[in-house]
Amino acid sequence: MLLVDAGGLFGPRNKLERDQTRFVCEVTGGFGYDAIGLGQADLNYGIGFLREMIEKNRLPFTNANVRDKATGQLLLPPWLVVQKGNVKFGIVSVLDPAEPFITMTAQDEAYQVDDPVATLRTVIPELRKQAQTIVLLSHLDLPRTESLLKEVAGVDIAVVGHTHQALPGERVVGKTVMLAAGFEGRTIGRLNGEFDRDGVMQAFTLKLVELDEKIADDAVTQEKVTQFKQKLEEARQSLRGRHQQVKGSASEQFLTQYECRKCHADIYAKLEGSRHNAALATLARKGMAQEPDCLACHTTGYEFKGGYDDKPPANRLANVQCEACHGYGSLHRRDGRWKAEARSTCVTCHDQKNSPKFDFATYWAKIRH
Amino acid sequence: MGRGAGPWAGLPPARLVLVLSILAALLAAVAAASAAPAAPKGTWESIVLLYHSDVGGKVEPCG
Repeated sequence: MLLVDAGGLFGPRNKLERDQTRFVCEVTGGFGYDAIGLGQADLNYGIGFLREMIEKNRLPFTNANVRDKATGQLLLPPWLVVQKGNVKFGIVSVLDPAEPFITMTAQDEAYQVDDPVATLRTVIPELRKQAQTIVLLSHLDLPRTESLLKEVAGVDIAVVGHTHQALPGERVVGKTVMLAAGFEGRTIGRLNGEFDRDGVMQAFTLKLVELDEKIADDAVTQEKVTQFKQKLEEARQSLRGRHQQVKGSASEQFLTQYECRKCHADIYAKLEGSRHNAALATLARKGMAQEPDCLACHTTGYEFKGGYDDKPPANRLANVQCEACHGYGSLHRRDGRWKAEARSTCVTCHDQKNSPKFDFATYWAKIRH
Repeated sequence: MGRGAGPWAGLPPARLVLVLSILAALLAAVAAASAAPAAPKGTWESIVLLYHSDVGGKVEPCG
């Protein structure tokens, strides 16, 4: 079995996410990855953190086109050679120079990214001398990878990252099989390859495997997750104050939907049974009602001055109420103003990560008022 | 712009993100099934490639 990740293993740029990333690295380090490509997000916490994770967890990161700007040296090994059975795989990774690095250590570090086409035209002939099958971990999304493969010969298999699209079936560009398994580990791709005596893949089948309840949990890992979540909860509690009530105006007030109801009883009645009005319960069922990143979308005004808090009276702003989309009720009561174009607010929460099936027309029909 | 017909269409919902315990079980099962000795020279050899990307460091999403 050859196990690879095409980059983007690390989380977003804040300390809580860094703690989660540290845990994910500890666990996945035990999975025995053969190669992990570098994505921009993997430098979110700086090269020092990445190297610490590599060393502590034996994570086989590789990349051929990102350099320390000060020294001109590559950050990582440009390729890896892995033998499985009788086949030697040469694994190389590149990322997109058009995507910026925005790191928590930006003031201390800068990176330069070489052109991936030129890089691969140099690397692949060298790698061919050591390996029979070349695997590219391409953190360039699908269209850019496809363009690249039209300019670079010699790649047998390209696993694509930096994409939110999974490829369920066969896609071949020139002589290269392109593979993608979507994002966030929702699925893992499985290629069953048949390799001839020269280590050349002669046939294959593909399958996307959903990581769902049809597969039983591994008890040891599940226990680690449970223990980590307890620690994470303590960290969340200490961080909550920093996320909370940082936007908006202290001179305005959220009035709660119960005030809105006094004049708009018909609308209130319509929305009372909606999923918006049960949004906090959704979090609570998962034991995540204290997660700052989640509360912003599962309550009213969590990030705004005067917004939701779990203590009275601000806990009356639980769930997604009228003012979550239409803005401070005090503005409306004073001069009749309200956010007429509330539609634009939808996508601040119904984003690709949390609401991948969001379609305005379909969703609006559920709460039309 | 809606996403119902976009590139995210058909992906499973964000019920769980990187279900570590399930991934661990899956990998163990595939590794066990793939642990046969290398094929004799001259015959075709079956090798499984497992791949993913963009895990994003999350243990669980908001739901």
